Amino acid sequence: MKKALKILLFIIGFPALLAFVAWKSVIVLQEGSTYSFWPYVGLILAGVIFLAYLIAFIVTGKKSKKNAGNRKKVMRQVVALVLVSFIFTAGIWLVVDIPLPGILDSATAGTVTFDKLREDYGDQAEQNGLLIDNFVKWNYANGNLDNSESLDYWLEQGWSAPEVKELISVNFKSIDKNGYVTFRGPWINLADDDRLTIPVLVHLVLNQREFDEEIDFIMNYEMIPNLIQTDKNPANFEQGAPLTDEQKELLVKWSILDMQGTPMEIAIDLGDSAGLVGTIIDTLSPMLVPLLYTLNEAIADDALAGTPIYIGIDATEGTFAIKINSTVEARGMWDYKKSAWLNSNHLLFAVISLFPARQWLYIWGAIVIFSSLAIGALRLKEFGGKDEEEETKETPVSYEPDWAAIDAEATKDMSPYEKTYYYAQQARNRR
Amino acid sequence: MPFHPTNREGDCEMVKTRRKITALRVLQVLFYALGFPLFVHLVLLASSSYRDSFFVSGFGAWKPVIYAAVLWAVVILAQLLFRAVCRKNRMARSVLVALVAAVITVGPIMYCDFILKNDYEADAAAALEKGVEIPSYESAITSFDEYVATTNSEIQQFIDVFYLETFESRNYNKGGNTDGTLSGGPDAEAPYNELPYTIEVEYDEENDIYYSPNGMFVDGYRFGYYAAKQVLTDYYSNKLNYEPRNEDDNIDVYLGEVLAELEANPNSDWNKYKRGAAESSFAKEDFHYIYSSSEYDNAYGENGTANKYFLTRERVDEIIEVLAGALASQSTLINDIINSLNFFVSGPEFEMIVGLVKGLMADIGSLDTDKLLDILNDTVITTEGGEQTLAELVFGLLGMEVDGELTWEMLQEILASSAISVYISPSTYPIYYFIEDEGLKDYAYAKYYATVHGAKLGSVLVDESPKNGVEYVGHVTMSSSGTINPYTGAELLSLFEKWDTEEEIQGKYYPFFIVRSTLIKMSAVIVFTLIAAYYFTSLIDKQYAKLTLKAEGGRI
Repeated sequence: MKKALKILLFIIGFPALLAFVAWKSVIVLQEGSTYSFWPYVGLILAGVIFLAYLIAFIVTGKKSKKNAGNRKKVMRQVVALVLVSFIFTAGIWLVVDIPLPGILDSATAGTVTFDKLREDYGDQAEQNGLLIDNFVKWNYANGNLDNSESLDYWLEQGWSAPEVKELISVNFKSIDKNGYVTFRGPWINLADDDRLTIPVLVHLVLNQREFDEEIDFIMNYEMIPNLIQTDKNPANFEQGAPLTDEQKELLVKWSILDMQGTPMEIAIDLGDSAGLVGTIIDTLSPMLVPLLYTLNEAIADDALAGTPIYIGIDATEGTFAIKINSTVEARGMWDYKKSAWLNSNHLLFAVISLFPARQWLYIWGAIVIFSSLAIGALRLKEFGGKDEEEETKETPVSYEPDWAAIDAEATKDMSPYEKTYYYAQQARNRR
Repeated sequence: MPFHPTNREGDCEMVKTRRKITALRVLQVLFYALGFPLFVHLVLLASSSYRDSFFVSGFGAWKPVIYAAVLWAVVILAQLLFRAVCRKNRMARSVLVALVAAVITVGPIMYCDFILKNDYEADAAAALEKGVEIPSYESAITSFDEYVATTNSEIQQFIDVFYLETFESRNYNKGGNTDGTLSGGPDAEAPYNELPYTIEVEYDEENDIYYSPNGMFVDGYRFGYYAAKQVLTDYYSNKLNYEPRNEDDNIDVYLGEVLAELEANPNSDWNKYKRGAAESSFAKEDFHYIYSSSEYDNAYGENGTANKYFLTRERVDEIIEVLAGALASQSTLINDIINSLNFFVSGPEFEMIVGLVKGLMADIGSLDTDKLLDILNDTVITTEGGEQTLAELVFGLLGMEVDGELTWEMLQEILASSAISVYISPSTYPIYYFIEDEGLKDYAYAKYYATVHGAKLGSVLVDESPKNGVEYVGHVTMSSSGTINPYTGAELLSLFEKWDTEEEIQGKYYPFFIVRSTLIKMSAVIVFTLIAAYYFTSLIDKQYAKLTLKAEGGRI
């Protein structure tokens, strides 16, 4: 009976905790399924902690058995097990939680916060899963990934495919070195902090930048945004021709819009003329597209922005808006922040995977401590012999004063001779 | 007397004594804790609203708690002293400690009510002379937390309106000024440019401002409360106090004239500075270049470091050339588009636009800045408001005013004043530096910060072109039109006066008021609990004495 109870208590302790961690880690494992062992880091850590606890559990059990009858020693094992159960659950995280927010903040430049991950790690895992999935989709569409294989094949392969890894690494270097770091001064920081004013935009577009000519970029097809989107042709992109070797050698540069990712739209209210304008654009689009294309090429000239910015028209569903598109999606990239995440996505998955473990080691820690104590109590009952109170009840013994202290106090002012006499007397009396 | 180890009665007595000691020890600690420790804790709680005040930070925020701790420390020192002095006479020791505690707790209340009150009332009277009404002493000592909360709420509104985000400023220049002037210390990374821009920007802690080597705010400096207050004070105090010379005069007209004179006069300090004249030749006293006499040329001359960051004449020429070239290559297509549009649109306005485009396209191959300016000036368009040049129409649509013929200089000025294209190199003095009239100089700097610098950062402090009389300030960005300015200039100046006074009053008096308000309730309690703690100590000692006597052979 006791054994069954002990087994039950053990199971509701750490093994149950491990099961919760595994259950809560499923979303992280699913989303990061192509990231090798990285999404398993949290689970592995929980497993290692469980192993350490298990060893402590076995060792204390064995020692209790070995010291059967010596209540003090058995008690020591109980205390050790309870301590271990606390240290390996909440204790470890109470310490780790002190530097972790700062580490996370500096590692992700404040883009992934501790508070977000603490409870909402599932959502973060989904976001990070989308990073790689969409990256694969765009690069399959623009021919950077071999089209002789199916899209599903590439999605299944994900980060584990060397081609995908290379694409992420090489192309991120381009958006970083020939994009983000070329912006001098405060302007990019202001844009990132919801302070994209007209002067900031002008600075970001017109300030002269220095690019690294040696940085490569992998791109096989020219894909440009559909410059005139109408109800008849609402597609976002037009599939261009394969790039020639010469075109592939051209330096790829990035604009502020690429850093931000999202297109800018300037909506114009045409009122009653909306229908007419829609018809005109529909009719004239074969002529307008080459004109816009030429203008966009001029904007990409070093005298102006130095990087492509696609100015187009969105005339779908009765609206009229000037749309300024970035090149990121056409080039198979995320905006800068997400590209940086994607480049370190395996590490981010490792970090995210820690949070289900952290959460359940905190929550279930109390149960583990309780079960350890309960098991300890059973061991004490089994191996600890009779406790002092019981012993006192059965064979009452007289109060034993602290003779040494009493003697010391009594002989404080005595001469050596008197002391010798005193101790002799006491010894006789006590005998 | 012989010792009897099996004296069960004596043992029981000993256990009882020990229990008594434990109980007394608990009471001793409890009563001590109900004295000064509780007092310090209550001061900590009472000062939480004070710590929330925008005006206190760091060490200053903990003043009330520190004062309380100091009072406690004095009593502890007295206790130690009396312990050494009155070793035998426990009662005398208790009385002396009680006396010190009474003086220490009642003293600050007396100090506040008889000395500090006079100072406070004198300050209140002085504030009233400046038009600032501060609460009476009696109100302040009881409702200081409400006053702190009210001021905080007013300042929060100020922060929100001008989109300062926080009370403290922020420097967005992580790497340095745009031209490479560093914002780091001596160990910062090497400058981006080869020019000697290694002098780091300076941080003025008192006013919470980051300064470039030329004495201006750094490129990415977002105002904190103190900087915004300084700029708005300089702006409105000079503007409102300006005495017009005639009916059409105002400070902006005067500033325009002074700047025009500095530009036009070849012997002005500004022109000497641009030329790199000898320092001794400047009318301005103690004038020194920041780096060298060639600093202006290094920034704005040929291949100047600042030229990369605004639209120079050469840059505009290049842009026009590229765009004109692109349009020229598609001239047939453009003609086709215009012809096709005839099927859908007609009327005089359309004809006018068609004429304009055709005129532009006829000469597109040789278009340059001068020709573009000619087109903008010479093309007259008839609108509902009458006849306008194309320049007036285009810039009017952008909310900018073109007065007379549009020249390159005027265009540059328009682009600069609207913050679209302006860059004052942090390594050169601006023209404002050479204005002699100090008030006007302050105004010129303030105007630049409030309108141009603020517009760059999305923290506009002054809207100089109100729409229908409504000023939009603060978060004016690509996606936000800002906030309607609820303050007039005069209101802001009087608010600043009020906030300055409150800052002074809060810092000078409130820590004392907080300690006083807690002491009022706690002084008697402190003295009583301290005496009680001493009493329990003496009882404990007595019990210990019993134990000692027993050990010596039961001589009770």
